[in-house]
Amino acid sequence: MKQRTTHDAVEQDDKQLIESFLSGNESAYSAIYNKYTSPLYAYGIGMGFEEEHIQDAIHDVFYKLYFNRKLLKDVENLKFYLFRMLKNRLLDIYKTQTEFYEIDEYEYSFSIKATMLDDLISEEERKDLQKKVEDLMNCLTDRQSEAVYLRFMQEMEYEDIAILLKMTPHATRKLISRAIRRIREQNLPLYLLFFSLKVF
Amino acid sequence: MQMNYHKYAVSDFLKDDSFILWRLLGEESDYLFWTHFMEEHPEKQDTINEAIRIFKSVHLNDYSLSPEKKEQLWRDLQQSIATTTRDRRRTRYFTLSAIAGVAAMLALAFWLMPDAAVIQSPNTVALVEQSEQPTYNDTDIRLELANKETVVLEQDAVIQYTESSITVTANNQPATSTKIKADHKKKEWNKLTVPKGKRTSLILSDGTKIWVNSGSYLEFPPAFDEDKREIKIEGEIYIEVSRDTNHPFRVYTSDMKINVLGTRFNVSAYEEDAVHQVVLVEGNVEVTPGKREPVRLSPDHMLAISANKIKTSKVDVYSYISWKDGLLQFNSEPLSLVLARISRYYNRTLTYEDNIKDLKCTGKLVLFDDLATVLQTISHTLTVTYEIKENTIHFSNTKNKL
Repeated sequence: MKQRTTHDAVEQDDKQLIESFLSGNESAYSAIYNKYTSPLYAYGIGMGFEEEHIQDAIHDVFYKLYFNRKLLKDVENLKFYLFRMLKNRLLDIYKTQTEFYEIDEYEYSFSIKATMLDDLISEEERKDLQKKVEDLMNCLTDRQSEAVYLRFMQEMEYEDIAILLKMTPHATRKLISRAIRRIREQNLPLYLLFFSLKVF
Repeated sequence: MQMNYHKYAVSDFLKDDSFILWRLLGEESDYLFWTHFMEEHPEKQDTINEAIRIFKSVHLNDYSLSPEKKEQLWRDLQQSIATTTRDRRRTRYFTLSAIAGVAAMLALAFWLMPDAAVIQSPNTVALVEQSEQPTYNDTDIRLELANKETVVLEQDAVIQYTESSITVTANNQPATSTKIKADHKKKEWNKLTVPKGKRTSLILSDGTKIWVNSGSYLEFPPAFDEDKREIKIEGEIYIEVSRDTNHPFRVYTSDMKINVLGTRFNVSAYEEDAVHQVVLVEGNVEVTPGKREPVRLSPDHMLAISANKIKTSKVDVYSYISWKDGLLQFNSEPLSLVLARISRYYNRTLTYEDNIKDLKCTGKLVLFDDLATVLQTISHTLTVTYEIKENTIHFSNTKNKL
């Protein structure tokens, strides 16, 4: 709900990037790289992968993108598409790092850390705020954290989050609404909960 | 309490859970509450807007690569793209030249001294001009030279291969020698095909020896480049590479590159096998599987790769190279794998019931024995029985028959 307009602008921008890249424009490729390297990296860190593996995976994602650019033709949401490639690649790398013959299930983890620009408020206030935000998020399970992160920080659609989490869109909505309820119940004073109830 | 909000300063809002959740999650109910509050307290609007502005700089998981790393990663990426673009051109070239119909390629690359190679192989040798009809058939070991002549090899002959001639020495017979009209400007390679049921070995002029197992395909250049030795293989070879630090040796398969100085190792990369292996007997090799990072292998270790998986482990090396001595040695291998190797060695189709495929086999099979002896040995040691139907031999659990 926040910044819907900027979101649309970004999408528009991505569509142009894809088009330009598909028509053979190499600078569109480096623009995509510059734009998404850090979000991909942050997503990988959030999932708890090692920095080195994340760098390898980012390399592989962009490598694949370069040689399979046709795949981009029907891509609606470039960010989601890249996030999904990254996650699949990281899980593959994770598997090769573990035992060869048996594929262990990936042990799920997702952590959220808050940061903010440091010259807006005093150091102490900044630290308090960061801690407060993290505390709010820390009551969530790993999957809830990832879903909330994708939904509210990355502004992804439920359908896309569902694919990243290998769940149905319906279950994803439930997961996120449960996550929100959990955060609220653990942190909000009662009268605000009542207020919420009255509204509906 | 709610009343206090009208006394809040910017910093108070930034400490308030409700405010934070509103900004963080943007939920409908929070939105309603806060718009409602601002309507009632228009004098707080500026304060709240300022808090909102500051809160915008809060990010979750706002990690990013350092500019140096990002730049380095970009350079690596460009490098990989350039390499692949080059390799793809080369692959297309090889595909064309091998269009004769050999399935897939395992490429091993050797750098040799640019003069001679000796091929040792079973009994007699026939030199065949391929200009008309090829006279070999699928059961012959054959060497197709770069100039399109084809040499058919049978038992225990030695072929001395040089740039300008090929000399064949069969057992107790005078050598015969033939001139080769070599055209080195064309980058054609020699191609050695060893069908199922046959094996051969090859001595290269630098002293490097290659044993080529059944059902394998090997390519090597008529003359090695000045700075390197390269060969390509599909199937299985055991190789003892002569040490020559000035001419690094490289073996290419469909899915790996093996970098060598002087060493002895086995490569098994049959296209039909799910797992491809490199087993190092001695020395030092560096294996690059596909686009992955190179892996350095130490002696007595095996690198096994399959789709998406790579593993190194310590192994009993002889089990993997015993085939070159006409033995198959197994150490707790599943029956399915044992039968697959016998099948290749004798060129017979072996099938088996699903319930015995994982039976563990340990021991030696002498491959110079005829197939019947080998089959009996297996059925005696394991509780299995077999039936021969035309060209197929079917294994099943003995207990099922009792």
